[in-house]
Amino acid sequence: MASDSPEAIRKSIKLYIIIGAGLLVLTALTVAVSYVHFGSHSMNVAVGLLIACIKASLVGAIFMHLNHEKRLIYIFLVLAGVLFVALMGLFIFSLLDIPGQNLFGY
Amino acid sequence: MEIPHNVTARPDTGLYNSKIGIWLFLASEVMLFGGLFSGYIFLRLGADFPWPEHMLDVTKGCINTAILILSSVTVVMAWSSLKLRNFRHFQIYMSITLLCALGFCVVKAFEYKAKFTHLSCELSNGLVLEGHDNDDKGEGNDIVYKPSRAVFPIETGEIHFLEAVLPSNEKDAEAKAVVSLKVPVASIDGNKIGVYRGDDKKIKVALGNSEIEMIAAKLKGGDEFKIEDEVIEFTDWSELAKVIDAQRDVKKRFLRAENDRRKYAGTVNQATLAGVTAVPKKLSDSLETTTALAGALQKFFSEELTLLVDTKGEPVSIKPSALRNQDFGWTDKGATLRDGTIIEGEYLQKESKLMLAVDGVDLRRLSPTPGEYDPKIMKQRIEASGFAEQFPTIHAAWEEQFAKYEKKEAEGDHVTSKELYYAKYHGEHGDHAEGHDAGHGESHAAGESLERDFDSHGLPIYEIDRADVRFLSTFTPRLNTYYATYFLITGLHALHVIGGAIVLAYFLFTGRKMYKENPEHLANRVEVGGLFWHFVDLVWIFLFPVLYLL
Repeated sequence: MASDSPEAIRKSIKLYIIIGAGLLVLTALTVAVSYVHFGSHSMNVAVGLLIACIKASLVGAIFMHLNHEKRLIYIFLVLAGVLFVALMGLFIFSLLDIPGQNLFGY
Repeated sequence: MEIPHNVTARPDTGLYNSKIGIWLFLASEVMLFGGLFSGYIFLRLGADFPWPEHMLDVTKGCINTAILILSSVTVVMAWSSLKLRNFRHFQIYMSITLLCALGFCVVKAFEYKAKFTHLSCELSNGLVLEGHDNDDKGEGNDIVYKPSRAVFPIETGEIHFLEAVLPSNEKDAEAKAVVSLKVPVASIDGNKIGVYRGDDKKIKVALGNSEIEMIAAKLKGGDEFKIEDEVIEFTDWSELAKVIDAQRDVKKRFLRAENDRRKYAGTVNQATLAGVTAVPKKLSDSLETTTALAGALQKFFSEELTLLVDTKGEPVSIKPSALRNQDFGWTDKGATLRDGTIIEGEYLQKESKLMLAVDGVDLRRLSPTPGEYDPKIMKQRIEASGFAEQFPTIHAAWEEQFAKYEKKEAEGDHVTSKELYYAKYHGEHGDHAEGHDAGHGESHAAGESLERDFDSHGLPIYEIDRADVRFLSTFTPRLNTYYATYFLITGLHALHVIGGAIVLAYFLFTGRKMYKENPEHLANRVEVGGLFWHFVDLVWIFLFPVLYLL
């Protein structure tokens, strides 16, 4: 594998440090923007989660080497991602418990 | 045994096996934390209280975020060092990673500790005070009773309570409190079962036509105790001890009978057992007898047998943590403790006052509609609550903050309900002479200042009547769903940090041999361990804003 050659690894060490510093900067940014009001609280949550997603992508792509991984692992992750989204939506069913204002309107 | 594809890639997947393993595991971990995040969203959307935002220690959270990011960099550097065949660098980087893990746990421990000792006290008028037990003055927040008697429930076969009840010196005449053993006495009718007092004054269990002497075997009626209706009064502790011994025998017999019954009868539910007359017909006569006995004994011991101890009226202090339920476990007539003991008596209100060193106040619960804070209504409610009169120092601190943010709002800035109606007070050292004099030791009418003193941090100490407390809790899961999820998710995350650190420490301390044999194998191990470590970092990247900031 080309990416595992000593030269490539020496190169990527610099990248790791840059990404680490970038993550720290993004952390500071998350804290800073949490004190700024973006019109509504939902917007604040969205901005905060967006930055968290960027950070998570950096960790995933660079530290966890997902920028050059084998196909099989992407398949696992897509499956996990789909199920994760489903989990996030599960609580919608709690609306079924409220008489008169549930999903089906009865 | 040599496991294939530990070092070399499998031709079909292009990956070495443990890498596939760890990614499958991480995918399942995504599900685990995903479920918890989903639960968090659900609880947050349905919360009927102002959801705490920026309530945790952001500085500590920031430090921990930085620590985890640093450790993520060092763990990947440790792997790179192995790839470059530099074992020394690997050791250094891995050690830094482990120190980071330790640092994370230490910061977390401080964070948790602060929560465990901080109190939230909701008064019945909706005012929520935050603060600490005023323990630097040596006054606990005990609930005090002048007891008339204590009731110890006797559970079959359990005698531990006896040690607590029995005076250490049985022969000590002073110690001979009156102990009453309440025994249900039922009349015997035909084939029914019952516990009754025989003509010879012995307590007996009757079962169909046979009669089983139970406690009676040990209680040789007559002089040592008297039987009055349904109550046997002991005056001799040693007799009581014999009763307990008898109980243990009965428990053995009960269990044996119960085992037999289950073995032969399959499932006979508890209701059948309790209603002894309705013994299933399928059972043979002997089994019927056993079942009936078991049922009767079970009922007898689980419900009816209590031990009453005459406590000579000495005041009893009960720590709130000893109560079975801190909110409902006590009334002005008695309290139920965790171990089942019931203290009956008169609640001593004056001795049971709650002394709270207050460092914050949340006025948002005064609002009639949660989440909406109409300035007019809030003003009215705050005035009506007696906040200004009863808690002058805290009120002044809040008023100052409120004025500041009210002005900001008037200038068109966005102001949150927390900024307007939630105030922290950090204490003032030095000049608080007027506070010292305020109503010290005097009784007070409603509306008067409850301020009694200042603690060593300059926080005002208030004397709060327990009758006015609607809910009192430390900042633990029982306070609200926010803290429940906070402790659950961060606790689980911290366990992941510890688990990951143990694995990485194993690689660090035992890796040398493997490195000499096959450095690529160790590199792969570290890569897999590192992947888990990055995942733990990744979870924290989401946890930090979600719990601390948003």
